[in-house]
Amino acid sequence: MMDDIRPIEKEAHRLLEDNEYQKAAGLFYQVADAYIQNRQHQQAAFCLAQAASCWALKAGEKTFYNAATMYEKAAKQAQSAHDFEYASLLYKHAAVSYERDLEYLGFSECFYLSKECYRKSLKNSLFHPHKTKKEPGKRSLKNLIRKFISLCFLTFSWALWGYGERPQRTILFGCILIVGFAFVYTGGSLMMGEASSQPRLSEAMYFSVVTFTTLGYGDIVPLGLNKVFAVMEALSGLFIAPVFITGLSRKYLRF
Amino acid sequence: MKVKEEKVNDVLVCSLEGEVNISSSPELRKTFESIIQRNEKKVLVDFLNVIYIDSSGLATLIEMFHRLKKIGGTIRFTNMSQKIANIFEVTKLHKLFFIFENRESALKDF
Repeated sequence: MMDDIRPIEKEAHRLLEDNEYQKAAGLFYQVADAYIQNRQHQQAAFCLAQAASCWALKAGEKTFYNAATMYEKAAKQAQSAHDFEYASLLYKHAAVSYERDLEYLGFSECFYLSKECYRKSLKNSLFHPHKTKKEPGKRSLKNLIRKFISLCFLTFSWALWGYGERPQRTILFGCILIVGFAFVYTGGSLMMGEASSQPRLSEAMYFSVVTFTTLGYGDIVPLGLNKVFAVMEALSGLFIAPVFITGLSRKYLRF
Repeated sequence: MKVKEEKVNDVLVCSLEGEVNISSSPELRKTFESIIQRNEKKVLVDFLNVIYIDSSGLATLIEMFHRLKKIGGTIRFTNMSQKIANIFEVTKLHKLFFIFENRESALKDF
């Protein structure tokens, strides 16, 4: 059965050369389907990517929707084949095609998945660091550190605001910080009114919210090590509020 | 499809000939397998005499690309005809692979 698709793919390439983009895309899709049935996801990804390119070439200045959906399908196949580097690249092309067609929901999803696949490919390559002649010995370690920093940054971005595409995560992130710091405060002491004491969880929660939002009523004052944690929480609050606003406007002002 | 291997300094040059398709890619995979087993880390694939490559051929190349990466090796490609280069371009693989116009520039880059 797989041998039957060889002439079909060849014909698709011939049609592509003759600028018969729509026919070529149809044949590439047919071949991809055969590969998918045979669980050859990497090959299917290539065929779908070629079909997407055909649609993009056909579109010219018209619609890029077909190209975008095809790139997305190709990326999913590459993901199934655990080729996250290629999947990230294809999702990026899908995102750009969606954006050109003003399909911002598709753009948002593909942009997010492109970053997520890139993070996974970084994670994989960190466990299998490779050298090139341009980066032998010491520079390979440098490359490893650079990759590790990129991975940390991407993971933080993923958790904080879903690479700018999931602003609701920022609220969750803020809530986790508030609750986390509240628990930390209960381990130390706070000055409430005239007396200093170890706070109950409800009092610590109140203090945590007031500190995170940088309201600073002053009715409860941190003491000892809690001062350090209060400063850390206030700085986190200062940083997270604009991130949330930026994420929200970035996502919803597109429509 | 034929594969000719030659060693230039510490780089293994694999010159492919004919069609790299669904029928011939298992043979190419075997060749790459033996290259990995011989612990060759610098591989240059010469496409001068390749007339066509399909998705199975591309899958074999990307598999080699990833496997070499894992063992700390690298793969480069050279001498692609316009037709082959177009296939790499429409699949967007030209953004992942290192492709050179001629053998000399590819060898210099290793």
